[in-house]
Amino acid sequence: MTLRSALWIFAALVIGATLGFFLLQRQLAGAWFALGVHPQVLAALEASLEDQKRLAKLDAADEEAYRARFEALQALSNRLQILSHARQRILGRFELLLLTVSAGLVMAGAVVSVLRRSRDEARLGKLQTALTALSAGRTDIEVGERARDVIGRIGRMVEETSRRMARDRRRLRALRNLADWQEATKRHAHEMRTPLTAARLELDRLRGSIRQQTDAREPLASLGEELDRLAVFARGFATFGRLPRPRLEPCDLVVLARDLVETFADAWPELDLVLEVARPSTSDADADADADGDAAPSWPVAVDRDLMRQVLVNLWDNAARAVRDRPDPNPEAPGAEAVSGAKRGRVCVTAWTAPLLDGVELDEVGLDVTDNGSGVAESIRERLFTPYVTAYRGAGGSGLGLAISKKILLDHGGDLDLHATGPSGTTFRLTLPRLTETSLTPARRNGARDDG
Amino acid sequence: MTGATQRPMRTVFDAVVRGLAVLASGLAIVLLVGSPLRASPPQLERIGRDVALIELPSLLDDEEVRDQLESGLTTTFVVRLTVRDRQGQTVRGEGWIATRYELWDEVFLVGTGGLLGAMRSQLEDFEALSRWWREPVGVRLAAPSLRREDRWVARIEIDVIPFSRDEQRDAQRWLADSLAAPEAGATESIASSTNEGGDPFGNVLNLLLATSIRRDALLSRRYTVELPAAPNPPDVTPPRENPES
Repeated sequence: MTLRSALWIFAALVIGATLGFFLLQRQLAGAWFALGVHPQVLAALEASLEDQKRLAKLDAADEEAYRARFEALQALSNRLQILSHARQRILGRFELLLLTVSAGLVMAGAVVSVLRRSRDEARLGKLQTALTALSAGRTDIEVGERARDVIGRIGRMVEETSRRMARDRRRLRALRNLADWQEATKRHAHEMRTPLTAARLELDRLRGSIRQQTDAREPLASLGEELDRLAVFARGFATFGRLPRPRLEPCDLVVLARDLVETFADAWPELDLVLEVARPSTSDADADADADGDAAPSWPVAVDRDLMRQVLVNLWDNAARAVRDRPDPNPEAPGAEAVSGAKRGRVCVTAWTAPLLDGVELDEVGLDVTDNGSGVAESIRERLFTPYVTAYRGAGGSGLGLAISKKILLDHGGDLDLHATGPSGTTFRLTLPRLTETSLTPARRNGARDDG
Repeated sequence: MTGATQRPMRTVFDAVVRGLAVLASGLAIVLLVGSPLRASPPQLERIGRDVALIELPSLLDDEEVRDQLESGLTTTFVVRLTVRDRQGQTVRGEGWIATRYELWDEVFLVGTGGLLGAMRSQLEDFEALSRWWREPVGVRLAAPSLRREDRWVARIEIDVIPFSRDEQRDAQRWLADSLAAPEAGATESIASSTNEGGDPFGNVLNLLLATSIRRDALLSRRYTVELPAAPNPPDVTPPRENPES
């Protein structure tokens, strides 16, 4: 409907409503007025006047009182007669006032409605543009709606959808990349295994045949170490290449994290593992939950516990290296004051849930793993999750830990990101889909682990 | 269409035409009878450069006027006299007669002013008032600016106002107070009822309603009288009534 036709409709409504009101009130007001100046009322007053005069004649002692009452009655009679004379004019003025006020109110309502409508149409136009861009695959959409009405909510949903599309694309790219890497490393591991085994057998045979030659022991030992290192490398290839599919089981992420923190509390002597739970600020249900996770599950997820343990151990191992890599404890690091004795570092695992969007709970929960280590070098931040990229090449780092962890999270439908890093520490963010009644399909729930 | 069907239709048409003719005749008779022609017109006389009003029109015979006179309200007859020569020079004068029937004493109080001169009188009944009304007024309107040798045209306008300004104000005040506080009675002035407390918007509406009481004429009469040129002997040309109201 165009603005012009809307205006016509409003005008017709205004005229119709005003006329209807006018006719109705005319009947009503006219009847009330006629009642007030009814001829019988005037006749009764006239009779009362006559009565006062007669009474005054009969009771001369109280003549003054009768006279006063007579004058009061006469004044009232005069006023009613004047009202009767001015009846048409008074009713006309009354109708004009009512007409003006009611028409003004209806017109004001119509104007406000038209203005609102045109504003909403403009907003809907913006929404349409945003949706068109969304359908065209754009993921940088900003509708800019702050209102709390339906249009505003839809606008924010469109923005959120575009953000999620961008996120899913990123995840898909990462997943494809890692899958390619996985396939390649699987082949490399396969290709390396046979010659490596043969080389090991040949080395053992060589050791037996030249057992008497003492000068050959050292090179043979060195050759053996290199073969061992190569074997470890090949096992890493094999591990990454044959990463199993997650076998999902419902659990509470906070409970899982707490169990793992307690289990591995003493695994790294230099680390102090801590679990914190971020209370959702706008979710009443979650806010009521116990911070320790003792209450009803607030972070329901479907995860493979073994794989999640692998991820967290990887991250904590990296954190331990980062802490060791740091020259001295950073007094300004978060939680540094809590670090005591031999524990140089602190790793804080914080469970979080996505903020509400217009009262709608988003379907993401996760863990932030924050250490107070030396941070990630800027040169490798962009490629941090690429296989064989490591800051600890000489310290036993194969460069597969973060890649494997990210792959595991992506296989869970979540993600692993470098959330923040700097000289005061690093935060890795694990994101997982919140478990809902429909998110755990029978196929996924019963899916056997694929080791191939 | 056959002749048999045309005949009844023509009969109906003739009947309608006859009915309309009767209705029009009746309406004309009613208008004629109800017109001011039946009332005796005012009498004017040209005396030198003056115009003298020597007799008022017989408005008291009008039933509506008579009821009004006996209502207890002050009835005011406003008389406006306008005289014009052929050159367009004009002189004007205005006077009024106010009469109120005193219900307690059962007498008519009469007062005049303006062109009619100041006078107060008390008349015992309607007959006395009628006699007073028919007495020669003898009021003169000086018209020195008019051309003496021209025929003059006098226009007399008489409005019957059913109540006085004081009674109008009293009724306005009473109505405004009654609308503002119907149960409290009407004892305060309009100003006090509209200025003190309450809903300002409602007070404005009440005031607007109250001020709609106007002193509209209950009855109006218009007469045009031609007066011959001065050299002629002073005579009174019978007025040519020209009822316009």
